[in-house]
Amino acid sequence: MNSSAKALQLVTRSRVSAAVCGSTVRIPRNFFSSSTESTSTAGGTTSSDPSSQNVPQFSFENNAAAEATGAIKLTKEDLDSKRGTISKAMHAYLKRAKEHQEFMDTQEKEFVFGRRHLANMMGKDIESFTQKDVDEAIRYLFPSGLYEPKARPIMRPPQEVYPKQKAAQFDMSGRPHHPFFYTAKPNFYYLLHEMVSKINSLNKLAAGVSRSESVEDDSFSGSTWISKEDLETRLLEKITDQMYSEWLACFERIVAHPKKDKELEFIKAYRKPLAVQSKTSELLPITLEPDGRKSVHVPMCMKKSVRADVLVTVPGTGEFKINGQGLDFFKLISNREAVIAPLQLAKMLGKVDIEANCQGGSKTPEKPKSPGCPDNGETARAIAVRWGIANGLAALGADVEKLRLAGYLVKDYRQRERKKPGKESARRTWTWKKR
Amino acid sequence: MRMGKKELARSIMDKTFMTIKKVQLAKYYNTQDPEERAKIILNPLELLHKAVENSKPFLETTPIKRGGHTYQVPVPIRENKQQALAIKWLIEAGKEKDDDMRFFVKFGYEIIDAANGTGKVIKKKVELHKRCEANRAYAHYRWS
Repeated sequence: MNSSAKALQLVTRSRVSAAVCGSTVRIPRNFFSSSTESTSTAGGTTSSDPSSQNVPQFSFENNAAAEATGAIKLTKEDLDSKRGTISKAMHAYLKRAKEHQEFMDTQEKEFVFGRRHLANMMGKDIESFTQKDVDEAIRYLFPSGLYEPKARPIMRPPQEVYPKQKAAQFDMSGRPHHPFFYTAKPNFYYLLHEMVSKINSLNKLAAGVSRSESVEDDSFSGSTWISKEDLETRLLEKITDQMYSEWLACFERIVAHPKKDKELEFIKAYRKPLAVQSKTSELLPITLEPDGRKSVHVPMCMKKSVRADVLVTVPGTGEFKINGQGLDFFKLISNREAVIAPLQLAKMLGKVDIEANCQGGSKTPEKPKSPGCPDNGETARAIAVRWGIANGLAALGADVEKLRLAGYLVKDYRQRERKKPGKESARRTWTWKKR
Repeated sequence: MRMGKKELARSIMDKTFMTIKKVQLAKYYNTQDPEERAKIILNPLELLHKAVENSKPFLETTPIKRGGHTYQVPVPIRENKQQALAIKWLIEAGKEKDDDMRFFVKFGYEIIDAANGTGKVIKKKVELHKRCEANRAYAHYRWS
């Protein structure tokens, strides 16, 4: 080695030592020889590249974090050729990421292949075979008696099935992208950092405003905070209960701020609507009758063992046709009142026609329970028809909230509890005698 | 309602309301003065609500033991219990011994009386409140 090269080596070593001592020295990549010693001594943190154009770029589909922090894209050639200059951690990560990518690719191929097979089996057009058709086909071919929906067989695109992984958190030299990398949960703590800076900016805005001026806001009444699990999937990081409650407390501070209107979108991004609002789309479809009236058919109206279906037609004259008879089908006034109740609440008493057919029930007029029994299982039929009427009215535009609050839209799933051995009836125990 | 016989309970209430309506209508047609007529409540349901509201006690005495002695300490009653007590007393008053009258008739009269602020149930409530007032010296035992 000639003297100039020796001098070069001396210079580089001193620069390396300087960098190790903590000074921010930027050394261009081509300054070094192609040996691995220089990089490994300082743990790979010295070989930082000032010009990012020289640094190869890599990213994976499933990572928002990398997108946010500026991902670098890596091609296959880079993986093989640059192996010498990568830190061990990076190397391990790249190997894992490559395997994962390959795995996902094969899964994707299998899924696409399987979907075509399925379309063929079901005799449907491959092009228009949506995910919904896939689900239906699976349910048909693999009928499952399991109660838990998550335990039943599914066929989904691999992105939905396999958990998302975080992209590379550090670049080729091992230097992390995210400024909060060393907190071990960068996304979470960065989010907290953002929230606090927002609070500070809102405080500056509200410098002159007194606390009493903040009005109770109802804009968040129909929504609730996302759960811990949702937050975990969003941030791709595991969160403890304590961390979650801290995060919530911080957000509550923002919501309680008088100037929170500036950050409404930010708040709404972390809120999800409550079940009531998200169920408004579950109303039944309205069909147009040949005579121009609108009708809603409510099938599967159930109460105990009664099965009824109800047809609500509007505009109508308040006609009732239950199993061919009028409201007189119900002998008891309480049952008639029950059937009319949703109509009274929605103020559509004389304005709709109701046609209902009910079958079943343990007792029928043909074989009554006992001659003195006032009911003969009529109430179950009345409740089934009432549920059908309420749902029909809801679909036709009645006030759904009112009906829901009155409880007419809820199916009564109660069944007769069986008698158990050692008891007189389902719950009643025999009288205990001391001796 | 007893033994799950809702229809029986319903029919009794129907007859009670019929009695109340008859009595109130009789009162209405007996006076010609429009002012007095306006004061008479003809809706039995409204009368029932008013009766229950008037009969609700808001304090009762409960035995609390302190230093060997058992004191009757006045204590407030929750909303639910207030209503339950009022209804229970009205029914009990209706069941009281009167051989000629049916239950629903007597019950109807008790409701009308309670709505007007008279009758056995109101008296019972007032006596309970008097007892609470008499024992107000021990009220602090509730927290001692």
